[in-house]
Amino acid sequence: MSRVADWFLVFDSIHHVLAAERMFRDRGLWYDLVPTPRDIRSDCGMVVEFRSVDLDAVRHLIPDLSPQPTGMYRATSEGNVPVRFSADYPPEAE
Amino acid sequence: MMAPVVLPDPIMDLANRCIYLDHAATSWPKPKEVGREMLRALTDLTANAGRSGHRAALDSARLMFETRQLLADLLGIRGSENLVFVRGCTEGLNLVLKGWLKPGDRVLVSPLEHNAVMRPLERLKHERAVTVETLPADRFGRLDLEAARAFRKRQAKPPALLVVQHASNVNGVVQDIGGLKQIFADSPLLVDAAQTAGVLTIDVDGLGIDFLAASVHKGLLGPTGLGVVYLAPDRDVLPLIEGGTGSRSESIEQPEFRPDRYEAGTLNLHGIAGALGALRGWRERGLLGAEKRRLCQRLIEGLAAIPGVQVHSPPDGTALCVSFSVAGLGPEAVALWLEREFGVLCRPGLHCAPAAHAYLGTQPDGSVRLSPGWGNTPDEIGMAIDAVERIARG
Repeated sequence: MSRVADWFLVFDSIHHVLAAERMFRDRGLWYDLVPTPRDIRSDCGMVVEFRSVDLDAVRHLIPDLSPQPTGMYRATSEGNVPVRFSADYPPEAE
Repeated sequence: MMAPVVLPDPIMDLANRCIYLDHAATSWPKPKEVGREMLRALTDLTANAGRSGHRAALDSARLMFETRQLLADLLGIRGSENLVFVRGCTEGLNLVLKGWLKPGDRVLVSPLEHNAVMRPLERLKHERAVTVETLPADRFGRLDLEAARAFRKRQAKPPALLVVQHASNVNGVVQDIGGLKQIFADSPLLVDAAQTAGVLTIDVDGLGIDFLAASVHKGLLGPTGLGVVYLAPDRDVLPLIEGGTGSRSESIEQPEFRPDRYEAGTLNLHGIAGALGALRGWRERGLLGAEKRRLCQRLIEGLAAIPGVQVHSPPDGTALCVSFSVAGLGPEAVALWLEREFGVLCRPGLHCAPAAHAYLGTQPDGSVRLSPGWGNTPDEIGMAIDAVERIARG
């Protein structure tokens, strides 16, 4: 299955995921909710998937999320790798 | 060809000729949206929220999220993850009492508490040496805040917990939660909002309420089998049960984050769907308190004028249900007479609140309770008063 997005925001709970979904929807950002990739966490939860073109918008959205995500990951040819997601995080440095 | 056999419908037959005044036990009728949403949840494709990760499970989780959000908005709670679904208000109260209190703790209660509070406390007296004291109140059981202030000043140490039923299920007395919180600012407060959620304004964050338990099937007009409990984010309460949450499944430790920490096992999706139906209509309906109080005051004035009838509810327009006794007749006899002769459905006895009846001086028999609610009319109240008058006359 081909993917249209290659970034993930990870949360503790499905409730937290859905709180984030509302924020993505309110701000008109493309997103999908997908099962947590196995190499991120061995879990039966879900993550918010988003596109790299929206990375800057998501970076600005993160401080407004409540509850906060526990991680951000980027899909690469070597698998999903964690990236910092604080507001001062420069994406080009990753 | 034989005509089809039409079986009598005893419930609808009763509904068509009764005056339902038992809303303090549970509301009836329910808004049509309640049944519609429950039916949709039962017949459409629904799955186990927070499990599996397919669209059906996700849609169920969204249904729960929206319901929780609407309930949080209604109760003045900003972080809806701190609002936990439980089986009912009783379970919510048990969760706080058993998850918060520690050995030797001291608890203050109002004199009108329900057994949902008094029975868990009785157990904790034996198992954890918890002590329970009753706050001062007037003759109706309404807390006397000046006396409570003096009471607090005499105590060297703040209590570990205050527990107050927002409105009495026996005589409808409403307690001043904000006033009490000011006096006991240094003590956590547990509010039993079984009778007031959907009825009175409740501002959990604004009043600084630490814990609040509510049922969904009374003033919120939802189905039975569902309640909520709020736990302030800075209050660390042990869960009542542990188990699967759909999160952190790799760990055998119960998650620390909310709401998962307190929601082990599959939740009551169909009840939550019914609650969603009820909540979608609440802004249009508004809170029920003003109308309930009008109907109760009319009852109080009408009943108080009947010779031989003693009313146990305050006559100042604030009561949310009405308790009374008829001289020479037991409450159960009055209730039976009301139903059989006049079609008035009410609740006699101790109302699961023997402590309240002991305080009001209505033990051991209890009282007759008339509790109007959504859908009752002034005409029905008038008919109920007339019925009691005829019963009192013998």
